[in-house]
Amino acid sequence: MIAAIRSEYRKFFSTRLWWILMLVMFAYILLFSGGVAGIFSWLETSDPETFQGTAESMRPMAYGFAPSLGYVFPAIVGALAWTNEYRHRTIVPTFLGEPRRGVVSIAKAVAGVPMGFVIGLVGTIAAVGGGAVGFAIFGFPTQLGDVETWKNAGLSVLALTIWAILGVGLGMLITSQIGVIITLLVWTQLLEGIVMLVCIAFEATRGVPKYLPGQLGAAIVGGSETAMLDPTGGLGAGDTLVWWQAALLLAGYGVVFGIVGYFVRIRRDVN
Amino acid sequence: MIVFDHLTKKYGQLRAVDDLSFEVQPGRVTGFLGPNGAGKTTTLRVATALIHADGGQVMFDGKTYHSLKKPMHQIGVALEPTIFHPGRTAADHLMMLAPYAGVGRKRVKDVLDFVGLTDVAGKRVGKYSLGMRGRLNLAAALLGDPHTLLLDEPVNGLDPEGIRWIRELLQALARQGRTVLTSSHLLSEVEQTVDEVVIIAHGKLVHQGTLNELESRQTRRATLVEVEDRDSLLRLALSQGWQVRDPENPRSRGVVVEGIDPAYVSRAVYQAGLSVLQLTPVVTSGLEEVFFSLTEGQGSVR
Ligand SMILES: Nc1ncnc2c1ncn2[C@@H]1O[C@H](COP(=O)(O)OP(=O)(O)O)[C@@H](O)[C@H]1O
Ligand SMILES: [Mg+2]
Repeated sequence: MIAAIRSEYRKFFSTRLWWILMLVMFAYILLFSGGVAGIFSWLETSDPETFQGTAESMRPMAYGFAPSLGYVFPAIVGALAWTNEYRHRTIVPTFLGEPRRGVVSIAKAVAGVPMGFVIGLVGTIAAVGGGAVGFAIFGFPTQLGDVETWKNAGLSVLALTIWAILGVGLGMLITSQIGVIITLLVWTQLLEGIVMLVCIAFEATRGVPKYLPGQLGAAIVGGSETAMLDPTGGLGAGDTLVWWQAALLLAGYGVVFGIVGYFVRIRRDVN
Repeated sequence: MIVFDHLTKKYGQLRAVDDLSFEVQPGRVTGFLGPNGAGKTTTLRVATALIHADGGQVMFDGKTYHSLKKPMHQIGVALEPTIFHPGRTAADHLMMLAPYAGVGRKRVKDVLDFVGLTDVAGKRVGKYSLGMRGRLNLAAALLGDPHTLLLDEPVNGLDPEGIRWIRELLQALARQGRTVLTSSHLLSEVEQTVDEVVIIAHGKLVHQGTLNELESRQTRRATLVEVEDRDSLLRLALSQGWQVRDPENPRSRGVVVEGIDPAYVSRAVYQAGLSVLQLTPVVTSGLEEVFFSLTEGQGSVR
């Protein structure tokens, strides 16, 4: 098992795509976080009457952009552990080296944890760093000395780490790179919102949305306060889960994807 | 020793490997031959647990590939060289496999050196020629210093120098007591390398033995006979029930009798009182033709 995990690291660090993705994520989050912090700070500065307290109220959202906007990146990087191997057929030498495919699967999931952690850290630094600079430029407090800020930053890293694990599981179910990306985007940007709206329409299913992956990810870092792309405007959030419940459930999605993927895809013939 | 034991692999209706049994002995190079589509690659994939068998099994000294601990340390495998991430260097590719083989950087360097890739070890594989990929593929197979090698068309894409190199390498490995199975769709490609051949067609075994046996199989059996009176020879052939190649050809002065020991033909012709101008065991068909007749004769029943 140790050997299989070591091999996973070497596979990872000998390709470039993951850090290109990480750079894009960093720039993307930095832009949004810095932009939101800057724009609202500027608004409040230029018209304090109308925009009283706006900058302050935007802080959780800006600092929380890593999990709310950037989660697709660790998920894709996690999935790359599989999609890269199937795309370039390195899965052949991998399974020749370790024919027990369950061992390879667990090794990839285990290796995904520190990977996700690093990506989570980078994304969170972009969100908090970008936001703090935006607020600081206009003289608003950054709250960087605040315990609450650091707790939320830690949860932001955790959320992205779990998205990476979910990505590894998803990669087992959908071994095509483009397939994973499309699935992630279509689900998180479109389908999850539709499912939420449908669920809210009926009394019986009103409690369901909080268990959907996107909502779980948001719930890890304080739910609706940071959620920007909630199509129901917070309606679906209802009573949100505690961060660790949300974290476990989101990881659970990854495990379920992985187990199903193992049986329907990974165990199949490799040509 | 490798034992292929009643191996069957089906793709829908097609029996790509059909109840195939043979053994591969250590200390010699065994050629695994058959025309394209015969089922060689499929057989090797089943043997290495990449694909599931529909029946039978393959044992390496009594164990299946799947049950081996660190299989790269025991069985070196090189299938088609289309299994590389183009962005990785050759060294990266081997380093990622090194943990599976239980070896370190030193061994990776040595193997790269051995296959002659040291100078380009830091280059991305995407820039490699087919021949260089073949060498890298072989380096990966040798990484764990295995006692058994399974190679699928290893000379593909190699230049003549590379072909000679691999030929000598395989023979050297066999002399060290290792088991070497190397596939090809061309007999001529391995003729000078192998000690023994296993020939398959349509997933079935059609011949196993040494090259000499293969050769004698044909030379013993066809006889060119030329007599003064060709018609009486044809009558003799008919009465003996011999198969005659191309009997209606008026331009041919002789007759080629197939499938009969030349000594027997000679006696019969003599006893029939025909005056013989020539009687020769036929070697017109080289090994390649034997190979062709063996593998073609399997009909198209699939
Ligand atoms: N994945 C596959 N799906 C369907 N048919 C296959 C597959 N792989 C091989 N075949 C078929 O099985 C037969 C044997 O193929 P193969 O083992 O590649 O032969 P060889 O290596 O001797 O050229 C061929 O008819 C081929 O078309
Ligand atoms: Mg083949």
